[in-house]
This record gives sequence, C-alpha cells and structure tokens, in this order.
Amino acid sequence: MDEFIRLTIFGLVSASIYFVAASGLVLTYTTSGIFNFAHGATGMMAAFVYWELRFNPDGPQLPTLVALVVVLGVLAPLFGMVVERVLIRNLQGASLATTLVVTVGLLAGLIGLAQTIWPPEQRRFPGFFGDSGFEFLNTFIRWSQAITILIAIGVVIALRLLLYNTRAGVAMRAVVDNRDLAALNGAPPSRVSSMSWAMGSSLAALGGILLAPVISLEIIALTLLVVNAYSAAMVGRLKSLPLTLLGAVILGLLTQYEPSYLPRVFSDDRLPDWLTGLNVSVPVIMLFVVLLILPAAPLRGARLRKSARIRVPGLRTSIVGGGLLVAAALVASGLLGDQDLRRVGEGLALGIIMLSLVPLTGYAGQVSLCQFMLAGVGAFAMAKVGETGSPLGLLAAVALAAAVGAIIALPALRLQGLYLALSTLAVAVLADNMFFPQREVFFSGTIPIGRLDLGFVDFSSDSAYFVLLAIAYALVAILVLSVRRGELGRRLLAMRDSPAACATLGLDLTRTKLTVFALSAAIAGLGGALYGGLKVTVGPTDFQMVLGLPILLLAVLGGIATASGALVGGLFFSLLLIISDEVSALDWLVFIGPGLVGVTLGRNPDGLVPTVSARLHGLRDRLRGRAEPSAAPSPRRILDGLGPDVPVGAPLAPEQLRALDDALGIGAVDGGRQGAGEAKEVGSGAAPRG
Amino acid sequence: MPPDGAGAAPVLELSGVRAAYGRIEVLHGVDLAVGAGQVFALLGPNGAGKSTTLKVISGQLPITGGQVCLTGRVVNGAVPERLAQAGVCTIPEGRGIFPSLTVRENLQMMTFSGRPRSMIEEQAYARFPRLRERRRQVAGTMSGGEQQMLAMARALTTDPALLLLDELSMGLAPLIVDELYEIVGQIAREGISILVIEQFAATVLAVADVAGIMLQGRVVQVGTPDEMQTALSGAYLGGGG
Amino acid sequence: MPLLGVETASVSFGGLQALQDVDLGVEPRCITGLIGPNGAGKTTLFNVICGLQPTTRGRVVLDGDDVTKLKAHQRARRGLGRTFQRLEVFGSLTVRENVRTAAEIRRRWSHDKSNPAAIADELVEQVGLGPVADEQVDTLSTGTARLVELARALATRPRVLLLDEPSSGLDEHESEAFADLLLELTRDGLAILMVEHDVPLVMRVCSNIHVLDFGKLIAVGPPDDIQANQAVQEAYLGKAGADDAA
Repeated sequence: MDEFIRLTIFGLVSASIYFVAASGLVLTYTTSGIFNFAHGATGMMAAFVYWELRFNPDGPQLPTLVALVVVLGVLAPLFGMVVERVLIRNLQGASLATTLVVTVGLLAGLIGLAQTIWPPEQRRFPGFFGDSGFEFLNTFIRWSQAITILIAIGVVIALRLLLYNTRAGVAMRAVVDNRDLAALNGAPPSRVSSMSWAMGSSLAALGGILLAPVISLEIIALTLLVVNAYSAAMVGRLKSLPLTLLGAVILGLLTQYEPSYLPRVFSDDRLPDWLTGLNVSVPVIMLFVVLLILPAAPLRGARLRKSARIRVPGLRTSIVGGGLLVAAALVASGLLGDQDLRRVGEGLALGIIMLSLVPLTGYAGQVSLCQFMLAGVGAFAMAKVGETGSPLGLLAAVALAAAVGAIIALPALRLQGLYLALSTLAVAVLADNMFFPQREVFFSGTIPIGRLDLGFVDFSSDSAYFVLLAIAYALVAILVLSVRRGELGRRLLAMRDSPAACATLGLDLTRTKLTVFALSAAIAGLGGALYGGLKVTVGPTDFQMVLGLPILLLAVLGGIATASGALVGGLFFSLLLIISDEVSALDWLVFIGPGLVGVTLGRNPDGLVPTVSARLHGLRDRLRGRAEPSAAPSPRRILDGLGPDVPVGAPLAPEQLRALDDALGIGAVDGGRQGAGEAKEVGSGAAPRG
Repeated sequence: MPPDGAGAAPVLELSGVRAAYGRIEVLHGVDLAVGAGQVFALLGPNGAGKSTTLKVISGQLPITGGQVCLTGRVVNGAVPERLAQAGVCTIPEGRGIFPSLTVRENLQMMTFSGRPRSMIEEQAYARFPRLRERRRQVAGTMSGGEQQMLAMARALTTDPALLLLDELSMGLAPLIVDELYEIVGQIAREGISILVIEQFAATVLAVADVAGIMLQGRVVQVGTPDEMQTALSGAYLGGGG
Repeated sequence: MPLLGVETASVSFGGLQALQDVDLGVEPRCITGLIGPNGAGKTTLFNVICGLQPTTRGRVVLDGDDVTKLKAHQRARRGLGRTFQRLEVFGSLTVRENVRTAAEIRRRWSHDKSNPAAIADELVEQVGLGPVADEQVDTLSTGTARLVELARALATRPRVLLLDEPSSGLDEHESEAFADLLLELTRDGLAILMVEHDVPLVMRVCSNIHVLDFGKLIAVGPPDDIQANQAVQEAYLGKAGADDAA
C-alpha cells in the first residue's frame, strides 16, 4: 500500500509538470491554429537559461526568485511574442505542411543553438530547496515535488480566472470560437494570439524548469517533453483544458505505475528484453492510442490556396537531367577527396530520402515525420540481407520499408492532417526507444552494411559508391516524376485538392493513401539502405527522429513538390556538413541551418526551386517592361476621428479635414496610388466561358 | 426618408471593386453608394457576390482593384478590427455570436467598440429583456431567434456609423424575421446608415430606402424599393409571383 | 418505384433540426427540382444522399437497394454522381485532367475499360469546355468551374446525378444552353436531381419539383402547381410578397 501511495504521489508530481507544459500547448494551438512542435524545445531553452542565471558557477548566480522572474516573466514571454509576430502570424491560411515545417524548423534550430551554446557536460540543476522535504503518509516528499503540485494547482486557478473573468481571456475564447467574428467585434485576433503565445511560452518554460531536476539537464530529453505534453493535450483534443488536466494525470500515473507493476506480470519479475525501452515509451504509446480512439473527422472539402505553378518536366527532360547529374557525379568523383566525396554523397543519399516526401507530401499533401525511421528500416534490411552488397539487400530494404510504411499508415489512415503527422511522430519516437536498440537490430552499437556489388561492377570504393548514389538519385527522381505525370499522380493531386469530391467519384481514399504511404516508404527504405552503405556501419542512434527533422525541412526548402528540390536540399545538407566540420564552433549547423530555413519558409512556402523559377520569369517580365503592381495603401482609421459635432456623412470643412489627417497621421490620399490591383489586370486571365 | 445628401460624401462608396478567392475572381467591378442615414438593400441570387461585397467592406477580404471609401476616405486594405473600432458594425451570415461564450461574455466582447460594459448591458437588456434572464446561459444553447437578437444587440448598443447585415433571416421563422426587421427599422430611424443583404426580399424592401440587384459580381440595377419589387418577382419566380 | 428514394431522412446539428422526415423520389429520365430558401437544408439533403452526412433517422434507397449504410465511394460506384455548391474542383489540375482523373477512377472500379483520355476529350467538348480544356482549373471563373464539376461527374457514368446550383455564375445565354444540355442528358437515360435558384430554369426543365423550407418538405408537384402554391410563395418572398402577389 505504501508503495502505491508513493507512486501515486510521484505520479501526480509528473502529472503537474505535464499539465503545465500541455496547457501552454493548448493555449497557443486554440488561439492561433498553429501547432507548436517547438513547445518542448522552448522549455528546454528556458531550463538552460535558468541554469545559466541561477546555477552556472561562472554566471551571475542570481537568487531563485529573481532568476524565475527573469526567465518566466520576461525572457520566455518575449520569446513567445517574437515567435508569434515573426513566424506564426504569416501562417494564417497556409497549408499544413508549411505550418508544420515552420515550428519543426524552430525546434531543430533551438536544438542546434542549445548544443552550440551548452555542449554536453555534467551540469548541477537541483530542484527547489534541494533534497530537503517532509514525511506524508509514510512517504518522503521533497519540497520541490510539493511545490510542483502547488504550481500546477496555481496554474489551473490562474488560467480559469484569466479565461473567464477578464476581457482579454474572454477575447481569447472568442477567437477560438470564431476568429473572424472577434475581429468584427473590434478585438484584434493578432494581439490575442500574441498574448497567448507569450503565455504558452512561459508555461513551456515553467514546465522545462520543473522537469530539468527530475530528468537532468539534457537537451534532447527536455525537448521531448513536448511528446508528453501532446499526449496529455490530445486527450482534450488540443482544445479542452479540463480534459488536458485529466490526460496529464493519466499520463503521470501511468509513467509511475508502469515500471513498478508491469514487470510483475512476467515470471521472473522483469521485463523481457524486447520490452526494454517501454518505460520511456509510455507517453508515445499513450499519444498513439489516444490518436487512434479519436473519432474520425468528416471528409474535408476543397480549400483554395495559392501555390506556385510547378512545371512538370517530361520524360525526356527528366532523363536528360538525370544523365547530367550522373555525368557531374562522374567528374566530381575524380576531383574531390574521399572525405568530401563522403559528405556530398551523404547529401545525395539524404536527397533520396527527401524524394520519398515528394509523392507523399508534395503531391498527396500528407505530412510524415517518420521518413528517417523508415530509412533506418531499409538500412536494417540491407544489413541483414545485403551484408555482402547483394542487390537482394536493396530489394529487401525496399520491400520491408514499404510493408512497415503501410502498416504504420493503416491505423493512421482515418486521421487527417495534424493528427496524422503527430501519429507518425509517435511511431518514430517509439522506434527510437524500442526498435532500433533491440539486440537483433542495431543493438551491438554498430553493425556493418554492405555496399552494392552487382558482380560485374563493384561500388565498394568511395568514388564508385558516390557515382552509384547519383545514379540511384537520378532513377528515383525519374520514377517520382513519371508518377506525377501519370494516373497515380493525378489521383494524388485530386485527393489533396478535394477528398470529398474524390469520394463522390467512387475513389476509395483509404487505399489511395495506403498506396502513396507504401510508395514513399519504399523510396525512404532504398535511400536508407544506400545511406547505410555510405556510412559502412550504423548504430541504434543513427536514425533518431530528431536527426530526421532536417530532412523534412530541407526537402521543403528545395520545394516539396519537385524532384530537383530534394537534390537542392540534399546538397545544402552536404554544404552544412562541410562547414560544420571545418568550423568547430558550428558543430550543430546541420540543425541550426535547416532550422533557420524552416522558419523562413513561413514567408515562402513553395520552396526554393519553384520560387527561383518564378522569380526568373518575373525578372524576364520586368525586363520586358511589365510593371509590378504597387502595394495597397496602409490601413487607416477614419470614422472614429469624426467627433459628435460632425454629423456622419456631412461634408467636412477643409480645416476639419486637415485636423483629421493630422490626428490620423496620414497625408492627403493620392488617387493615383489607389488602383492597387489595376496593373495586374485581374480580369484578363479569365478564360472564355464554355 | 433619405436625408438630403447633396454635396456630402456617401458614408460608404465602392467604385470598381474587384476581389477574388484564390485565383477565381468573384467581384468584377462593384459600384455602389450608401448615403448618410440610408438603408440600402442589396439583393440577388446565391453566388452573385453579395456576401463577398460585404466581406470586402468589413475588411475580411482584400480587394484586387478599385476602391472602398468610408465618408470619402479610402480604406483599401484596412483590417477588420480597425474598421470595427472605427464604427463599421458587421453582423455576418449565420449567427453573429460566440456560441461557447455566455450571453454576458458575448456582450463583453462588444466593449472592444470602446463603449463601457455597463452601458452595453443596460441597453441590450432594456431592448431584449429575455437576454437578461439568460445572461449566464451559454449562447450556443439558445434558440436561433434569441441568438440573432444577441447578435443584433451589437448593432443597437455600439452606436456604429455604418451597419452591415448579411442574411439576417437565414433559417429563422417568419415571425422572428419580422421582429428582427422591426429592430433594423428602429436602428435606421436613429440615423445609422445600413447596408443589408437578403436573398429573399419582401421583408427587407419594406424598411429600405434604396435597393440594388447584384448579378454575377456586379451591381446591375439600383432603384427604389417599389421598382425593385417588380423586377424581383420576375427574377426569382419567373413572373409567377 | 423511383430510381432514387429518400425516406423520412432527418438530420440534426447540435440542437438545430436541419432535416425533418424528408421524403423524396427521383424518376429515371427526368429532372427533379429541389428548391427552397437559403438554409432550408437542400445541400444537407444532398450530402445525406451521397453519403457525406450521416442521418439521425431515415433511409436512402438506390434502385431498390438500401444504401444507407454504404460509404460515399461505395454509393458512387452504384451510380450516384454529384456536383457541389461550394466548388470542389481539383484546382491544381487542368480541365481535361479533372475529367480524365474521374474517368480513371471509374475505370478502377467498373468493368468498363474504355480509354479515360478519350472519355475526357469527348465530355469536355460535350459540355462546351473545349476552349479552356488545358487551363488549370483554379484560374477559371465560378460558372466555368461548375461545368468542370458537371463533366467530371458525368465521367463516372452515373445513373443519378445530383446538381447543386449548377447554373449560378452562368449568364442568361449560357443558362439557356445549359438547360438544353441537361435535357439532352436525360434523353440518354440519366436521372437528375437539381438544387437551383434560377427559377425560370427550374420551371423550364423540371418535371417534378420538391420545395424545402426549414428542413421540411412543404410542397411537391409539377412546376405549374408549385408556382401557384401559396406556401411556396410565402417561403420565398416572405408574407408581404405573397400578399402583393395575391
């Protein structure tokens, strides 16, 4: 009984931390509609900054309260507001892929930044009041644990008061209900969401500072706090704070009960080997289960969105392009040293994995965060079957990855958009904890992976393998492009544009999604097998979810709907590798770089290749003398300048007009600037009617 | 009685306004003017662009051409909340309320117009005693008519310069529609300019000073309510009405 | 027995009764009209018929079979096609590709293996989209995009076609041509159920008209009866309008 009480109390302590973090996530998501993948990373940064201010022996060693006020009251809210202003506000109406990439970019960037500022070392981070505490129900409870529970209760009360008893809080709930109507009432939704991001960031910071003494000050572990927060928040469908609290309590108790009670189920009172890793996986498993028991959303209708026109190269063009790539690789293999060959080769191999996102995300509009995990599955198959470089290894990689991809997709298929992305994240983290570390997989630390040997050609030398990677990239790119031009490609685009219309035409959406998931997984598996061969040996941490983030970011950077975009993304990665190897201070550039790229995508969601090509066309038009339309005039307040003595609609005297202009800070309206869209000739594009 | 507006800039004037959803243009040059104290009824079939016109005026949809003027000032590109604070009150299609907020919290949202809460509650409850009884009720659980009254309370209590109404009658019983338009008439008598959109026109024509018919993204005809009544019977029921 | 039948269909959203015990029948080779004021529940009824909206009560019967339990794509495979009031075109494909994709989807579930590209070419000409066949659909006007939806629905060779305000966005002249096209389609054996606000068009082409108001069926009958029906007058023009007309 004592044990049960102890576990329950400790479970409530964990639940308190999860709730604090999850409530911030819910606040930001409901008011802005943007899911913040960087929520845990924000908490991680805050914990480190707090350590810097409070505990760093070389730092100012501020008193606890002062450090807390600086971090929670100043820095974190400021950070949240800047993020909202710079990144999030532009994302209204953007596609899900774009919104995901921006916050995933922020996540990657923050990890890279933290790794650079705070390289791994032992850091002391005691909880409040250190190890002192008190006895309660035969259980020794530390003050810090009691405080954690009190803080959570305080957060519950404060949120309740804010949301129901202040105008700002009511405005927040109003924005959740109906954003447009809130604006029509005169409540600026942007200010509301700025405020909620400030609060969300503060709550993330509080969660991070509370969690750090429990799990130690470690970058990735703290960042993954976000997964715990997701699981709790998902119980409330990312909307309801009371249900989020319930979710946090369930999760907190589960994480405490599981390690103590579950082993007793087995005969020798310990978990079997294949279940090692279960302890850390409880939040992910809970997230997955909650996602699966959520009721399916109704079919989404069409959404009008602007995207760059992407020209699809014909078969001949893509073959010529592929040939050029291989030729360039042949030349480069003679010029570059072995080390550079490996780095650029890594870019090519990752480029193939990025190509796997082109049909899935670029055409079908589905977002997956587990492509790198699938690549790992491919590498695993290559290691087992193609140890000697047998082509069968590549086949096995493709087949196994496709099968795993389909199996992952199967339960996730009823989910759409964000929930689907979250479930792929859950699977990837689960594989990190439970699949890759298995004794039969990569347990022994590193296992060798063969390089393709076709009998008549052997690709075992670095330069030959480099050319092989280029050939593989070219072939996959040609395949992906012919998919786009063919029946499947049209079907995928149709499904992305309007799932509802597809269903009424008789299309089985489930099967179509399954097909594209399997195809995408197969490509990722192939890429992973070749990537493994390049590395020669791989280990259990080589395919972690976090390491896969730059892949998604760079694929979107190049242009998620284009085959050449993946190459750009891959080569960009090589460049970052080279720079970070040469400049030791920039060790984590492979994170910071893609992170920066991700966050800038908010302004440019189509990616580099389509944008550059559109710019080139624009430049050509301008050279031919077509004018760019001038920007629309800035907003002006007008009617409120009219005092009660001026009847609405009555002509204003010149001096009144001048006074009004002065009051509003505007000059006379220049009639010539008004025709904002005239130069565009909107109507001219309209097609003749049928 | 439309006041004599000679020489005055209309409260609202659209000239050559174009707007598009994505790449599809739906307003192809809309011209219309609402004079001070006028009630302008904008009529026309579904898909003609009436609601889009309203979205353009309230700042919810950017225009791609032409200009929108309020009392002679160009307001192209102004954001909805600024326009709302400046006295443009928009009651959108459907129910212009926050369903998960209580009646009282809904009224509290109206204070962003700059009026104190006590004043808004007082006026709203005076006009709709039923809202006082239900002030703690979650608005979404009230009947359609009560919800629409709560929405109209914003027009009544915030003293707007221009009121935009979109399909007030949608999904409501005729008796309630009559009551709502009685309120519109009352607001109009206070001298507030109103632009009202209705698909089915008889009720609104009774309170309008001017009416316009919109077809395919343009205002094609403007005239007195009587003239429009005749024109509409033809347009809607093929001369049978 | 009608080709498509709806029996006592009821739908409620929260507390709002969107449809209440609606019965409706669509006969083969005929155009059936469905009219009523905004918010009367017409589009909801369409969604019920094609399987995008579950009912709280009632059945949908297609050619004698109860299809109430079938999913949207399964109903489509039994010969139900539709267009949407709020456009659901495939905006990133061209006009021809929109129609062709529909034909390709059909080829996957039917035994008819005719060439989708040829079907697309033929339909594009038939509905008069030839001049814009290779334009990307998200650049087209609303009226034209509606014709794309029509051609796309026809590409699945439906037996019953549901059209949701197909003529809005068309001008008078185009509307005339459109009416002729619809009549031609029924001569080929198609049954059409059409929501439409262009009353002259409805009166011209429909053989039977259902009138919905507040989620209830208030009148059924041939065009002349509907036009003279007092309840319909009131629903459409409000009380005053009906008084004026009387």
